[in-house]
Amino acid sequence: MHKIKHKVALFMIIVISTLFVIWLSLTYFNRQTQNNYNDILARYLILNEANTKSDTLMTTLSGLLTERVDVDSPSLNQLEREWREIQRLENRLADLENSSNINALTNYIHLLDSLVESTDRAMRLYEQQDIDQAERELNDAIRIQTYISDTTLQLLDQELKTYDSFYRGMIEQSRAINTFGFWLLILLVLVLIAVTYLFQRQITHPIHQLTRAANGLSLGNLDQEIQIDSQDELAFLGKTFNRMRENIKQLIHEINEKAKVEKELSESKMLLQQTQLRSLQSQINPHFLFNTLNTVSKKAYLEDAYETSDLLVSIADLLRYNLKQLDRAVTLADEIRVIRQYIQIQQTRFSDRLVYTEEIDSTLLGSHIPALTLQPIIENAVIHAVEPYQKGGQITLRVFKQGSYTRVEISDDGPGMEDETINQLFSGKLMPKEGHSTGIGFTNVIKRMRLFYNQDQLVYIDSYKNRGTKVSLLLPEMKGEQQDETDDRR
Amino acid sequence: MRKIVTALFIGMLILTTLFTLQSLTHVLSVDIDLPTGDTSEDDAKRLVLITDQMGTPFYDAIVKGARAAALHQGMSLEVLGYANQNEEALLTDLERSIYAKVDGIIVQGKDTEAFKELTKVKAAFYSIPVVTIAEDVPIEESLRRTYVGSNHFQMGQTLANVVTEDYQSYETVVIYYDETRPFYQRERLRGAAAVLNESELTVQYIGLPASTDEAILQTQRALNQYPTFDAVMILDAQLSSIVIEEIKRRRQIEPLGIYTFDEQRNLDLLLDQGEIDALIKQSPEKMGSMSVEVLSEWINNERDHLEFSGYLTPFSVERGKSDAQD
Repeated sequence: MHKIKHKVALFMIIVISTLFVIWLSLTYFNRQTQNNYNDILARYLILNEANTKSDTLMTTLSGLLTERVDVDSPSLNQLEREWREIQRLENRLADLENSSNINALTNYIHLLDSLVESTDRAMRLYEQQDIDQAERELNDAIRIQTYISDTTLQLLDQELKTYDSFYRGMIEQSRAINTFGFWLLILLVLVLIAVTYLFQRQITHPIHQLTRAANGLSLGNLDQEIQIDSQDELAFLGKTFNRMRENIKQLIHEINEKAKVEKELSESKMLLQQTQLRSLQSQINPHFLFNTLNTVSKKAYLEDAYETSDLLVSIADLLRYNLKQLDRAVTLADEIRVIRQYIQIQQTRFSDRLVYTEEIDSTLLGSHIPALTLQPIIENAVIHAVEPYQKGGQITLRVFKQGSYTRVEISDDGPGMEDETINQLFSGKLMPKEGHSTGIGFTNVIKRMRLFYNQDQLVYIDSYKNRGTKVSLLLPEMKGEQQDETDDRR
Repeated sequence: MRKIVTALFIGMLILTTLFTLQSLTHVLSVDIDLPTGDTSEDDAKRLVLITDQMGTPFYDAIVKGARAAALHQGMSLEVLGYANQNEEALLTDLERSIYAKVDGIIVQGKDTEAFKELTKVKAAFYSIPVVTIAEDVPIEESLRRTYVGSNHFQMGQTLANVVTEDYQSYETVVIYYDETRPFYQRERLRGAAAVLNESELTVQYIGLPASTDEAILQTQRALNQYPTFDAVMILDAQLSSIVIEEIKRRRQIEPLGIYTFDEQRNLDLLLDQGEIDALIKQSPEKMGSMSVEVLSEWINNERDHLEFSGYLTPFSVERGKSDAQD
């Protein structure tokens, strides 16, 4: 990951090294120019020095000769020193040679040479007391010195001419460097502006993205993923932000789920209470009713009205079954027994108008089922398919295995239902009409089924207009069913 | 808006980059040419050619020939000199060259004591070979190595022969010469006299001083003294224009025969106009080249000895356009 720190450092290094390179090259140019100037100046100085030195030599010599100093005077040493200096200068002068001054310079060096020789001769003659000759030599030397002065001027003049184009070049170059520096400065400023702008954008753009995302998050928009296309800390920040967003989203989803489950739970409790209330409402002193029904039954039996007696027993049983707690599980066998008693009662009422048939796989009778599940459905079939018709109706109960489910089908040959009615039934919008023995409607059955098995889609209704209605319940296998089944058989 | 700003910025950036590069190339292209320190002529022998008649076609030709020869021989040749017969300057140049220890001196000979002193004493002391050119100085007086140029005696003879051809007896010929009588003019005079003395012509000898003003005065005086003459022979080319000018003031120049030498400028023109009847034409370019060759061969020990009498270059007579013969 490229850190912002590294980027800033890199940027700084590039800027500093650029400036350094520029500084270095300018310094180099300056030094070069300076060196050239110094060289030229040195040439002038050497020429001037040679001239001065030869002049001094002459002054010293003529001083010596006119004063007629002693031959072993220490001032002779000075003369020697000056000779040596001039000879040293000759070597340095030889370095000044170039194509344009070669003749003049060689002449000059030889003139100096001649001067030294001439003065030397003059000194010797003087030492040999040949004063006249010495003075003649001195005159020669003076002439030579004049020539040296002339030649110095000539050389200086020559130098000026020779370096004329050079000076012009230097002036031109320094002007060019100034222009170059000006443009370079502007270029650098522009480049710096551009780079700084791009750089700050690289930093601020992701921050803006983050800010927007945070804003969105605070407004509850959890689905907007933020994408940061850099590779620094900001990208990391973006990723972390995304993860946080995902976490919040999941958390909220979980809370919603929990709330839903809790809502369902409270709903089922309410349903139960409602059912219980209804059943309580309907059991106006049930013991009294039992006792009375039993007494009536015995009375009917004693009066040889056996059928009436049996009917009363059925009613009493049905009542007792109803009065049991509703939130317990019963076996399919119990439910079917209650249905048979209910059918018996209803057959007493409708005699042969109600035809009831059973197709039951007896191995499935141990299946668990909430109490009073089938009875309301049968009752619905009686109410809608038998009661309204003079010819009566047929009700069929079938129990068989379907996959891992036990399927219970209750069908009639009544008028059937509209699709709309079926939907209303499932959504619980259709309230049960008066006249139900238990007061428990179809909707209640569906809900309890769902709560009991903790599973949806267990109830189906197939209905065809004027051909009948078939209600199918799918009972999933439950744990410990086998055990219960064996218990039931005993 | 944003796009416009970006485009503007990029445009500026490109423009600035271009300008920067342009100025950079300018900086790099500025040519600072220091003269090269190294020269191939380092060890070349140094010759000096000294004259006091710079600027005349005659000496320009000498210099041209000398330079060509020096280049060919690999010698370094320095030409020193003044115009207008400044002998003092010539002597200064000569002395300075001697003190500057050049390897050889080619100099226009001057028949003066100072010149002889320099060549005989100074040049000999520094053992610098001196070659006289065009004008000679006697060897025993100057200790010059050799002479390169025309034979002045023969030239005098030749010109006098032309005069005797043109003029018959009893006619007067005036001969003008430099009254200081430098060696070469003495030779010319000797040559001319040798021929004219044989003829029956009347000859007047008139010496003129070196100074121009005095030469004019002297010419006028001579013209007053000898107003009638038929031909003029001027041995010193430098005097030619003065003399011709003065004669022109007095009389028609056409019938006069004027004979002279070629060292001075304008003479070619006068020759073309027919004012000069005959001119001795020397070979200055040949003198220049030959002097350099002889000297450089001597310096480089390619020559055992030099001819003391000198190396003579050819000359010829050139006639004026309209012949003066009447």
